[in-house]
Amino acid sequence: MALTPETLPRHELNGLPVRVVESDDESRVGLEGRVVIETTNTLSIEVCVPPEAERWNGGVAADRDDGESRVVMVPKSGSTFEFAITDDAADLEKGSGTASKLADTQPAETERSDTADRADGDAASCRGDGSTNRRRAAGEDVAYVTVDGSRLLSRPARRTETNGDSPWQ
Amino acid sequence: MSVAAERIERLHELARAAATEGDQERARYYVRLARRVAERNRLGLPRTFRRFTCDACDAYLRPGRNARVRLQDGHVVITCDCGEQARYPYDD
Repeated sequence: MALTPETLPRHELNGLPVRVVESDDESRVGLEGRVVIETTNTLSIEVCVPPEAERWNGGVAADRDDGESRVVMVPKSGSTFEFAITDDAADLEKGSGTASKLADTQPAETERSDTADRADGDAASCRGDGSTNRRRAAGEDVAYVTVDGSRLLSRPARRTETNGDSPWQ
Repeated sequence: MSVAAERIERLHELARAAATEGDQERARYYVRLARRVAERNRLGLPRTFRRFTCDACDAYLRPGRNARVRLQDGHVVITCDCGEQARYPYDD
């Protein structure tokens, strides 16, 4: 059970490069960084200051140790997140800055859509609401997974568990 | 490998990275979360995880930085900065 678009809502989110694509608060849209802390209702994203600097660098490093980062807490509900997952999801070298460049190149969407449809069925069945669509950037081993924040509303340690659809224990 | 086991492995790496960068509190958070995931899913923790974390204060141990490692007769004693001591045997 590797980290795939299907397992992402149940998998570890800490450390993943993430982008806020939609939010109730417009000022949060476009935030880009790594998830560092997850709570039941929020994700804390470590972004670089200023956020544009990372894109100018072309996704090179801009990591925590340069002292130019800050941690922004984003509520899960009311936000839509786009996670960038690689084949080796624990690969921390992949700069999250590449996400913005590759996000608009999506020629491989059609070949991916059939698997997305099938996976949408079982992914959505485990938690009723929320939509998941997936895109795979061509040529790179990076897949962008868009997840509605309401699907992630759970205690961090309990998201992995599969105890059916019912909210009752 | 199950999702939970992979989560523990990822959290182990994150904790080590955070400790290396000197962010002990964040490393603690990852260690605690990994312990909680293991507990909820009835999994054991990997041996390297057990040996590099403090049972008492959940710190990620970096020998020489926040942990002392001494070899005694037939066993290793690791002392965390919080004073907790862990022992495990070794074969020569």
